Amino acid sequence: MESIIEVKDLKKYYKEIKAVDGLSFSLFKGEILGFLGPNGAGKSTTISILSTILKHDEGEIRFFGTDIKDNKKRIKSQLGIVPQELAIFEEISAYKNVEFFTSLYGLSGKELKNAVLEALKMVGLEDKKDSKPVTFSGGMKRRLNIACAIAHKPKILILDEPTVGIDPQSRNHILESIRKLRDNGTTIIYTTHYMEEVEEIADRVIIMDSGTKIAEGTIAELMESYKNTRIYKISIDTINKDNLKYDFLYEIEGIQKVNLNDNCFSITTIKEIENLDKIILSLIDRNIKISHITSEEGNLEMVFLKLTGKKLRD
Amino acid sequence: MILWKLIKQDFRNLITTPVIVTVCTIYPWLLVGSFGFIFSSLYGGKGVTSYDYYGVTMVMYLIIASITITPNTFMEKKLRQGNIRIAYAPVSKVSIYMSKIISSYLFMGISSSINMIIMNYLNLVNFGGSNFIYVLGLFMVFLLFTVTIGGAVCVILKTEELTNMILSNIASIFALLSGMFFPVDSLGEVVSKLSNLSPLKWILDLSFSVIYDNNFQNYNVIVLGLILLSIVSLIVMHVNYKPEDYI
Repeated sequence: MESIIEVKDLKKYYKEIKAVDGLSFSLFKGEILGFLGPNGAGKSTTISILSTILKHDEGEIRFFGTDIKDNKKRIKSQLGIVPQELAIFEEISAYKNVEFFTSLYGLSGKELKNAVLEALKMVGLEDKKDSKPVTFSGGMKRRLNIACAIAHKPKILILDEPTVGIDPQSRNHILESIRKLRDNGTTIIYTTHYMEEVEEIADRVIIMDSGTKIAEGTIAELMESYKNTRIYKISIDTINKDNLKYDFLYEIEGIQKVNLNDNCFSITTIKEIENLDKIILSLIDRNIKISHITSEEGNLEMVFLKLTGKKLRD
Repeated sequence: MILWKLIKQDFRNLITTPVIVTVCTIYPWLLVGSFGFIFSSLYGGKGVTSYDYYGVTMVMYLIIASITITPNTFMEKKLRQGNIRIAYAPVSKVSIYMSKIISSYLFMGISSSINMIIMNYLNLVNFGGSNFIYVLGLFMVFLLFTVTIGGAVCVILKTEELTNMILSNIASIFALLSGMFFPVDSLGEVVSKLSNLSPLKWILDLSFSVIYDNNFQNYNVIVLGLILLSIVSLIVMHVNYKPEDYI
């Protein structure tokens, strides 16, 4: 596959804090690459660097074989960015918004008009083109945010959490639009902390935590490594967890990892070994009162939990 | 071409901000009317009326108050996000900050000029008769200074609240010291000396000299000084403006 972005050993520091620490990956033509990670994982910093707005401290980034530092203007013209915040003007119409931002990419006249209408149609806002975003719902504003980024037909589209806080209808519309763009040849980087969205649309996934890449592959590949794993989530009555030692759980056959967050144990165990009864008994033996038990297996959330020891939305 | 598009959009953003439009249209008339009326008894003699005095000082006050207009175009909450998308586009950083400066200058310049022309035409305020164009020119150069220094402080401080607070307070102190609102000579020798240190007072004194005495002494020096300070402010902006600071 043709690689259109190559990132090698990327590093970005904010004083002492390593926001991105040695990140390397490739983006292949025509794919949707999902970037998963909790808040503070380094996703948005990586996106800002790729968008050429933020300078990196170390490492190398190549767009179509050209170093990012060499021709920022050309690289920018091939990028479409959907930032996490709504990057639109609320007091001018949806059409004027898309028209203005698209005109900055050199489009004019009929070509500009057609591009604007096409983008608005793509996100389902053609009927609202003359309305001001100030009158829109959150989901419609998010769709307009996308239209402003795609009208100039970028080769690479970078979306930073584009579905935060919107209704399911708008979310589905956005995901459908992204799939259409991919099918039309746009290469896409999609960051989110909604696991189910990545499972739904991404061809490949990079999982980030604390500025580093902790896993990479197709969803099937990532799941394969953990297909024999199950996670029990056991909620317990409030306890002083500082004094609680739970090493005893590791003595039970099959248990691989134990975490305790907010009075809830996350216990990773081998799927084939039936050990729930032993886990329950050992907790009861230690006077720990169980209030709720659930079991999960075979999803990206579990992969993430296993890799990082925390939930994606922590 | 791109710069012109950005200027048009920034100008559009300014004219769709109700507070700014009110400050530029209603506020000058309100200030001149109320100050002129309140202090009319103090200006009973022939020649200068209270409306003449406060017409000049209040237009100048609004020009110095426009020091916060450029920071507004950069960082006002509802504009900030749209500005981010401009930074993502293949647009030079010079075009981005110059569009803010030029649109602020055009907006405030046009509104101040219209107010002055109408006040002059209605004989409400004496702006110098045949010297009107020189008074207008002086005010426009002063406006150039206020919008550029506003931009320079904004790119250094990078937060709208802090920038507005600092600039508003400094502008108010200079305005008070210059005797714009009431004569400060009666407040004692110290205040009077401090007043003479206020650059606003120099500009104000020069304006009245041009209007009433046809005296252009210091005109070129002050105009050149303001232009030089504006250029310095632009250099400060160029060095300090980084689009990533507004993400």
